[in-house]
Amino acid sequence: MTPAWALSFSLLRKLLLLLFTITTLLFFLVRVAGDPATMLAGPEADPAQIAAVRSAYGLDRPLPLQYLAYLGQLVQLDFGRSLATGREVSQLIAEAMPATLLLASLAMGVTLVVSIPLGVWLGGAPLRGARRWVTAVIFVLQGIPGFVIGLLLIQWLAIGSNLLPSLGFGGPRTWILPSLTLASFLMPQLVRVIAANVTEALGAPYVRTARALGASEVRVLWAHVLPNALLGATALVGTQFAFLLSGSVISESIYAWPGIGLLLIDSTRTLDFPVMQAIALVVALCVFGANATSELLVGRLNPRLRHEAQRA
Amino acid sequence: MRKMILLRGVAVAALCAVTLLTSCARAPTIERDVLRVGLVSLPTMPGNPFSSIGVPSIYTWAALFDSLTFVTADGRVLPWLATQWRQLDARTWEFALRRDVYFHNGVEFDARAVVFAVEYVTSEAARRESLAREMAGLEMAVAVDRYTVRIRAREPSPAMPSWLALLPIVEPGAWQRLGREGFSQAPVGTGPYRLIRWRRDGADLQAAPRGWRPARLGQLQLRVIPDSIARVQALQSNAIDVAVSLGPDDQVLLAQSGARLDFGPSASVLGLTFVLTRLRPGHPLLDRRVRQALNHAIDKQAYVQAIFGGRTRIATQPGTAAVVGFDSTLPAYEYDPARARSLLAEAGFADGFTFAAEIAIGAGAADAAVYQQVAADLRRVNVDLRLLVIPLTQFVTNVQNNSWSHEAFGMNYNAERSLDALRFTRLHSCLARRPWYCDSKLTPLIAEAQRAADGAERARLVGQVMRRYRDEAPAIWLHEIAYVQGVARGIGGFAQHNSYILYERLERAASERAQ
Repeated sequence: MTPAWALSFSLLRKLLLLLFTITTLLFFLVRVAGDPATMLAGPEADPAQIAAVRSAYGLDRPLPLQYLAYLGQLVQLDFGRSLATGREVSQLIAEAMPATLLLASLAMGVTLVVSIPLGVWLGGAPLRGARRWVTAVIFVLQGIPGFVIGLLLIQWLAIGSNLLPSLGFGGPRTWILPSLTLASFLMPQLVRVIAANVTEALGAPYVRTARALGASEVRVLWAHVLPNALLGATALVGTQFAFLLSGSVISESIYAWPGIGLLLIDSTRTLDFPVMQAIALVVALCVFGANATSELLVGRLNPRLRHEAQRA
Repeated sequence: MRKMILLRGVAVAALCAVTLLTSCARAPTIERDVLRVGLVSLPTMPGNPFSSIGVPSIYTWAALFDSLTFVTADGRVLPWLATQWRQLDARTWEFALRRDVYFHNGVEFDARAVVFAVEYVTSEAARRESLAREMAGLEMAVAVDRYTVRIRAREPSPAMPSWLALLPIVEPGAWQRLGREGFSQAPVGTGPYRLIRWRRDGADLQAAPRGWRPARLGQLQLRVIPDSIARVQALQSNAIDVAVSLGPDDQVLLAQSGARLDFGPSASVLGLTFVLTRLRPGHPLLDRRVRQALNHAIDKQAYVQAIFGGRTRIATQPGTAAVVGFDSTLPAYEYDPARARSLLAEAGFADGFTFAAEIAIGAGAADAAVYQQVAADLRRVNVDLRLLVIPLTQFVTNVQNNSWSHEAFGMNYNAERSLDALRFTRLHSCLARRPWYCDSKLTPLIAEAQRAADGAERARLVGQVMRRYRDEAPAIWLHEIAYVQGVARGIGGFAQHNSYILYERLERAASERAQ
């Protein structure tokens, strides 16, 4: 079996295990949160009314039967219908997903554009003067919850200076604040990782060799040090994708961004099981996809891992 | 050299950022004919007005649907889709309907629509609708002619015109054609705005061309902004014109932008209710004197002043001044810690005691602050109140099953929107399926009040019910709940009645329209 096949097989095995675990856990855990029939019927409902709601949504069947029906639906890629609205869950997710993906992509773009140069700059020389201050600011930023940063950005750029809209999803102007907010979840950590990697790589023998061969400092930094520093960061970006998606719940809530996060908040409010389950599954798949991609990328980018895989 | 290149890089990046921001740097333009409202959420089933009642759904229904009558914040019953009514016998009322009213799809409103609404809410198919419970007292409706309808209740119903304010009228043809789910996606009512489309983040509506309540602004945008701080900021930054469900302390933030808070009275009273039926024998709260002592221990006027700026009233009974049967002669429990201590001592609890209350935060404006103040005041009379925040789902389950784990819970005594004072007794009396308070002397009084055919007699009996609740103190009566809405500068005509916003009256000031 070639290394590529072995890796694909390993990923497929992990994916199947993840899907089974996630679907099973989700199915039972969301039911611990409460009975959606009670929420749909309201606090003053009598047992007959609650029973009518349960029956209308198939919640009166035994749990194992509901679980089997759920698995059967999933195999056919059918997420069922929303208990609250009666609409196809897949349709709801298809409508919401593009907005969240756009937000996540923008945030990731901002994160990379800012973090890479900043990380290289911070790691490229001893921590003195401006670098020391910037590092301190990054430390502080890492400790501030994302929603606080979001609210501060609105206060500063939307209310204070009237530069940008404070909410909505209506074109590039409305993208800036949500993506900056979401980027703030990842950026400080990525900057620190890149800076640490750059500092470490600068002491490596191949850097001494490059310098001995007459390479300029800029070339050493950008052509030799950065690619190696980014290897660790690539893995981090993959593993942090989950934080990006969970951060989108906060960002979407603050900016009324019509994505998966807002849909999740709404479905949690009404204990809309099918929607909650589907969103969690889709998010899990996205996180898995991001992790798998970063794993593949690291494997491709790191010659040492590549050679080890070939030898194996 | 390296430093120079890095500095240049930073300078270029900064320049790009500044360019990007300045290219966007224009004040948000206000579309002059559009009204933008920030909501907590859309109704659970967005276009089905039978599926939920009250806040937050009411903010959407108010734009789309009408009912036969309308109850104002001060309890007056106004003609709405019905122009006149008269009582034929104890159980039957006849309503004359407004003419030249059209549904959003052009179909004329007439008696068939009323008959359909009554038949639906009383049908087996409607059992899962929240409104079916409210309308359980209805028996049938018949069309006398095209514009006259007779509605009969199961019991004598002197207050029928007021509780029909809850019954939304839908276009029967559209409902039958589309079904419950389909209608929810494409609702058709007679309200001032008709739906253009639901969006993931709200809804776009347009003034109904033949609306009998003509809207002053051509479009209505409902925006879902779940976070209350985000709603305040949206109002500050002119991104919306009205923000619902704000807190009284938001006034400070809004002051600079010229926006204001509107405190709308509700027909609900906040009470810290005792789970009396589940207390072990000998528990202090089973003694009426102890419950009265706790009522005397809270400085309600002080917190109403401090938290609400004095813009709501302290509760004297489990109903507000607007509900039928409100007894204005009933005094509130006076703040008197000495009297509270004396009552506690009289009951044998001079050293105080401890109890816990389950609360769901967010049900009312500033409720967390109020509960904390209550706990602080009780500590002054040696009563230790522990506050336990529970999720809303748990709260609803506890209300349905009386499955409270502790001695008390915070809850509204709600008479909305019909302003029927006895509405709360369905939960807070022996009439409840699993009551937490069951006063055997009260039950016949409630039944007598419900049966009373004459309005004045009913009001008198309801007054007696109120007095009994006040004196028995099955709860600490706190304050009348206020709906706090934010209104942007330049928006005129704002009016709310028991959380029902009259959207059609909202307009932009001339200076705003000129922008």
